[in-house]
Amino acid sequence: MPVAIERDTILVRLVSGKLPDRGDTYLNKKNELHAIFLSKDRLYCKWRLQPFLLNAAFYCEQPLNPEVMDLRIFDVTDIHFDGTNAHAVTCMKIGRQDKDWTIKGLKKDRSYICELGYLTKDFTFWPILQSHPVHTSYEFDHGYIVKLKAAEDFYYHRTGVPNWVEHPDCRQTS
Amino acid sequence: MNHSVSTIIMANDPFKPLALAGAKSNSEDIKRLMDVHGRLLVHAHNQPAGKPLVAVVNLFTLGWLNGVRGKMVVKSFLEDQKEFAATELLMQANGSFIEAFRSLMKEQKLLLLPVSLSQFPLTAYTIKEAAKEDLQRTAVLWKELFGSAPISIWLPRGAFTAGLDALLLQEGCKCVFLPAGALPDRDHASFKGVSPHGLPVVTYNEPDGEINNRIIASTASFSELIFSLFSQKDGEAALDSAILRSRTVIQFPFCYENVDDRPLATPEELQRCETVFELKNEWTEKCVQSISEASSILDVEWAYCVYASFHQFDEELAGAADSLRYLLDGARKDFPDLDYAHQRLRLHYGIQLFSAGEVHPVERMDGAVLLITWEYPPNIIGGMARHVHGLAEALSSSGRDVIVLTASHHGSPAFETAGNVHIYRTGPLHHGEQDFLKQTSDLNLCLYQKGTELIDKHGIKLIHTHDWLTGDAAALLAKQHQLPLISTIHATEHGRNNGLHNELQHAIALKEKALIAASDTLIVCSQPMKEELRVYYEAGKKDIFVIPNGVEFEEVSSPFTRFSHFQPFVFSIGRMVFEKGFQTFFDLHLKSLKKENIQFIIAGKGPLLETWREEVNRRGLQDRLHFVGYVSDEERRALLQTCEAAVFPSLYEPFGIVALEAMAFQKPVIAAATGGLKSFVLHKQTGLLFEAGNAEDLSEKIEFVLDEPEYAGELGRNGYEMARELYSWTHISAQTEKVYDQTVFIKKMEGVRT
Repeated sequence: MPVAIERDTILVRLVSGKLPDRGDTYLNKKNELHAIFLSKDRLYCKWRLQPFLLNAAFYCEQPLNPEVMDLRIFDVTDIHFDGTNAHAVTCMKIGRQDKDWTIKGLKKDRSYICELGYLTKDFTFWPILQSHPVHTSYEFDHGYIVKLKAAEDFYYHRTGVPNWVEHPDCRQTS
Repeated sequence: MNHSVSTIIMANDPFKPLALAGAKSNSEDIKRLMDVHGRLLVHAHNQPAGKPLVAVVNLFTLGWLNGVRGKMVVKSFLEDQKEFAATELLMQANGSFIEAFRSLMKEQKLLLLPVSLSQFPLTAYTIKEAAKEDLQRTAVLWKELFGSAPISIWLPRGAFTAGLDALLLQEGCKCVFLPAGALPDRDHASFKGVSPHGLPVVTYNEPDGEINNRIIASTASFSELIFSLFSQKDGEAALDSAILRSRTVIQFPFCYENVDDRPLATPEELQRCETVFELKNEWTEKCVQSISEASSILDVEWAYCVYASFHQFDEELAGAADSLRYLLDGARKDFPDLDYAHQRLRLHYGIQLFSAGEVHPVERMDGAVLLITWEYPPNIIGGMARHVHGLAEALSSSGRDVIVLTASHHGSPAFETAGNVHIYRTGPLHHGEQDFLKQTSDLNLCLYQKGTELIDKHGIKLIHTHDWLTGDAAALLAKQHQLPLISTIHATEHGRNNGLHNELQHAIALKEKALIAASDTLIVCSQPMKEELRVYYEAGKKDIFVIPNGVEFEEVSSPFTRFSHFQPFVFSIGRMVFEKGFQTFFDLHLKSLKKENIQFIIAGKGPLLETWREEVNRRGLQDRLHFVGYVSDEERRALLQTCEAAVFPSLYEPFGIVALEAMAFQKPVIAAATGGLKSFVLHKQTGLLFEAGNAEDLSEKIEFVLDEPEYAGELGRNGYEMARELYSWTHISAQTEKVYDQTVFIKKMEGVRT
């Protein structure tokens, strides 16, 4: 099952001693990336990336071009995503000042995770924010039968966490 | 069992409180609101028991109908529209839609389903926990209106993703409704499913276009589910396991209405709400704590902002966002306007929602309350006697055993019962003692002795005293019997004298501090008083609750004042500062007023008093406009009682309690359409509104009131009814009871015997 990583908090800890002098309030401002379905095949990405976090990221890994960010969407269906094992990845170049982006052409019955980051000097992708995972509608009418066993197992035996993508608020609850 | 397809009525009309506020009972907005909900009542009434009419409703609308405004609208509508079909049903329910709905739900003739409060698709929030909180808020409001969890919460635009079933279950829901298009094999008619988390799934067909006010069909299995729910005994949480076993376990990833034909939302719709979402990041736990017992107002206001923003109700959004910002601003400075917060909850949203901070439900305390007071009718010296009397009567009416202990009074018995209130009078031994402090100590010792006897005799569980005058007795009794002590501080020595200037004042202030220190909880009547206790009386760590005083509904004994020669007159009162808008009076069209001898008395002091007096002289208006400066409480009430109308021209007014006071005297109120005034001066219902700062508009409204005395009288009577409802002792005693419950609860947690 895909799991999101709290990268932003790690970064703050890494460089906190050497950041420009900023108040606590500033550091407490939220950094987050949300992936929201607009329709069955469109995803709306919305993020809040505070300058202090971006500066921290630049401090750790110098950007190839500080004005250009990378928004990536990973197909993470049925895997524990570790940053390297996605079934597929699509990259979008966006401006540093952009705050949202709509991704079209999602496939049915797939799990996706989005990441916002940039290319470093050595041309590798350096992620800053990661979204919660989302799962698109079934591909064919009886698609639910494929999930029937897992659903029944969970329903009758309540075995740990479900092995499908759930609403992020539900995941935080459990 | 009949498995016929059930129908669901979508009665989720748009809710626009600002538009409703100024609307007449024959306006389209009001007619539509009454028509939609009236038809629900009539149809449900005609249903056989056990086969309920099912309807999806807007929770904001129901809350509003439950509030003071809503009730007034219903009342005047019923008076005007004699042919209204639901009149009889509403009259049987005291004119309350909520009461009528509750009764039909109890008879199993009606089943209402709220749409989640913000009506924003729960899969589209870009704020963590927002969907979960939306569902929680919906369930809490529903419980306040109907006393139990909703059967289900309708999902906006049918948007669902796995996991929302778990959140609905957490709120006590018994099923989830999903659009039929979400079904894998589209076999809508015979579908019977249950989600992996154990929530029965009911599907409904999705008509094209807007589904509000449409009748839609749900699956056959819904009838079976209703039957099972109605067969449940009270308090039974789980559905019949046979019902669940007969269902297919099904996991839906993501679906919404008309998934194959149109998007769930557009980027523009989501971006429109971003500003409101950002607002949510502006308040912290500290703000919530600061706004204490009305903290839930922040969430409810925010939810309405989301609703208005998503539905593009721009004017309504501006109003709600202003209100939220105003409340937040106060909360951030640790000085929230709690009066305003309560107003918004009760007038606008029709709910009370005390303290979101009370995570653990507090049990209602058992046993009697001992009220100790310096004065009690017929012994009336200041305002305290009326206050304690009003409180005692209201507490007693709500079923509480109330024992009043007070000073003896010539001509009054040592013991009497008035209704269910037991009144004991004792002390002081030396009535003639000239030393005020000594006489007070004498009284306190007498009260202490009598109190000791009463605590055992009446099984007293809590002591509530008023001001320092009876503080020693109360503190001693509480300590000796280990009982919770609540003190209401009506005024302080520091405040009364604007500082402490002599030995007596210092001695009294010490007594006040001792009482505050000995009290478990403090009650004050206003927010500034709370600040005063914190700043001057070291009460920073105490729980201090603000419970406003009741508005006086009794006429003053003598309506004569030093201004009795100004007759007839229009009255206004407030601090002499620019934002109170008294400068508007200078440009009134005095000549056009038919009652040419009408006078204007404007009371109050402040930095601009002399400036405005000079302006009156400069314009030669001395015989019409009278800036009379400070007036005493008695004079203020006499002026309110004898005026033709009361005018409040504020450019900025967060609350405006004095306008409510004018309403309590059944006077027509003319108020500027600003802030808090607008929230209870309902145009042409409980008063008249004019454009702030617009003297021409104000002149017209004054002329109207003076020329139409019958109409003015009706406005006054309506205002009176509203003021009664808002500042009735019943309401104030309910708030006080909650403070009692909380204090006893905390005391118990501290491990002290109660």
